[in-house]
Amino acid sequence: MIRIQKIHIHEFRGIRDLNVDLGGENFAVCGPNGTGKSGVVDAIEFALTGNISRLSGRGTGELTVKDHGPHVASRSKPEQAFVALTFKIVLLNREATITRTVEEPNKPTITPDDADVKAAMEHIAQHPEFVLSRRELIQYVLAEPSKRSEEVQALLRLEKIEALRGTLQKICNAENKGIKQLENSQEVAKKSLITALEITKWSTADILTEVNKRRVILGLPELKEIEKDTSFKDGLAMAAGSTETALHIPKAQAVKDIEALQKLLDELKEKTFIESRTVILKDLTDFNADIDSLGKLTHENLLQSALKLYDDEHCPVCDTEWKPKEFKALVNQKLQKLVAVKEKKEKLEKRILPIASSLEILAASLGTIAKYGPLFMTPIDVQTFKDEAKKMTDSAKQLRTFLPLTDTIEAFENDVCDIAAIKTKLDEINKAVTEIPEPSLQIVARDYLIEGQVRLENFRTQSSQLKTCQAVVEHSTKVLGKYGEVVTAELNDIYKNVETTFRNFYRIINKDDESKFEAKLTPSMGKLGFGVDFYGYGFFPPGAYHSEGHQDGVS
Amino acid sequence: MTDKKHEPQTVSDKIIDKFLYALGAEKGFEDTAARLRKKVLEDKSTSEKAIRDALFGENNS
Repeated sequence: MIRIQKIHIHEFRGIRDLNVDLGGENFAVCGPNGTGKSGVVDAIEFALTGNISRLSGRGTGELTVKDHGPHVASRSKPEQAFVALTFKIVLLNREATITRTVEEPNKPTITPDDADVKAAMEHIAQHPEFVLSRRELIQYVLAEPSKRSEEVQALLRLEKIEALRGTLQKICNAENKGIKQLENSQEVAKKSLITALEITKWSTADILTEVNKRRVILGLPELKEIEKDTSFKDGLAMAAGSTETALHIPKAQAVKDIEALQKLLDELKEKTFIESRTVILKDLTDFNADIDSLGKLTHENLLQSALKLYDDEHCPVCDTEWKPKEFKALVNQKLQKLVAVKEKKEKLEKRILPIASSLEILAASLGTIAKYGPLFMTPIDVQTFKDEAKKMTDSAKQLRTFLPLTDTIEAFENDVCDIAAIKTKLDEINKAVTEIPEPSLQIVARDYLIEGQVRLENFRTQSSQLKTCQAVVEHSTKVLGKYGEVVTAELNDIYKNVETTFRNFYRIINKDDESKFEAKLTPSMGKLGFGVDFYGYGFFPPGAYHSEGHQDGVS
Repeated sequence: MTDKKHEPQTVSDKIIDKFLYALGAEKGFEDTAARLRKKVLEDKSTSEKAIRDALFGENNS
């Protein structure tokens, strides 16, 4: 806290020259209109911060401190316009003087120029809320709740609170998006394991029953439960006639895999799948044809990337130096204007995800069967399967990436895969599998356990990755939750204090006829409601039923 | 404890300081709170990279 001792204002705002000794006392400035009362307030703010709020901010586009700070008669001589403020820093019990000229507002002369005084000055500059014009006050009184919340947060320099909340939220959202992809990979691995184990539903009891049937055939002890390191083929190497050395096609497994792929190909031809793709393709094409939306979408993507790549010092596009707060405020302001197009994009992305998942499942199924190709007595060329699987994986990746939109449309326009070519090759493989001599029960059981274990391990890997990502999401969500809890409570306390102090001041000033005046600030997410009750009729916004006189009184 | 050099000055920093104390008091979040304090209050950064590093550790983000 400081107490002003003396102030010298020269050729500044509406004042030619004013020297006042305030002696560190409280003071009020009064006088007829146009005599420079506001100029004194501007001078104090200018001396302490180098800024004049009335000449900056919204609606003051053509006004600047340099051009409009000096007295109108000295407007071309900013070097002559200065304010010298002598004050006492109460905590340090020390007196200091700060002098600023309009010509060089960022280079004040401070006497004494030591660290303690400088630190005190910096602290004051962080709190510009000490200067509020009547125009600003009425703005807080009459603003809509969402605007009021924004204005009050800016006044209290709370932008950083919102910036940190935004970043935490963004990280949570990004990690959640990653979970979706890992969930899909886990689902693909699970389906593949279910096929291999010949079970119809995912149940430990069913798995143990099927696995133990094969283990009994091979003379292996039954498994009692499935733990994180359980192996279906435990003891297999020791079992008679059960060596794993020969690379061969597990006939029973291959038949099941072929059936599974056939089923997936049939699903591609189902009406609902075709219709769903057609509708989404039309919406994507319309979105792409709307040049305005497309431009905005590209712009939105650029701004999001800029926020991500910004290193707290330079713009990632043009290398211009930016202060973090200013850069983020500017980019976020631009992003606000693109909210509608962003929402449209997110809805489309959500509809596309099931298609991407189908492609990934189909690609995995093709990959599984492609592995059998070289194992036949006369190897079968499975390049078609490999090529189609790669095509589908690339398409799925593009669908998940979404931008550039033209690439996503292209991925949609192309056939999901060359079904005819796949069917021809699948028939060839199926025929070759059928021709494999029927293996003994022991070989079938051995193949079952080996392949089942391979797929179990893949499922475990996918599950582990998913679990890690879920832990990350849980961690960041908890941090975000705690942040919201603490910030809301703290802001509520601040608003409650303001509410009480404001009500008490109003009652004192208007004690003759409005001593029961009540005021209520109601904060909620992104809003700050304000209600006043002059005569016990209930709380209403200041602009609702009250006269301009009352509104001025509240200001 | 916040040392004198890094004592929060602004209303924002004071609120964030309280959040970090509350977070640090949660079991398993002590290190995260300490890293966030360093990034947000001392380095004065709220960039995505800085906050990711603080949340998950620089080797895990």
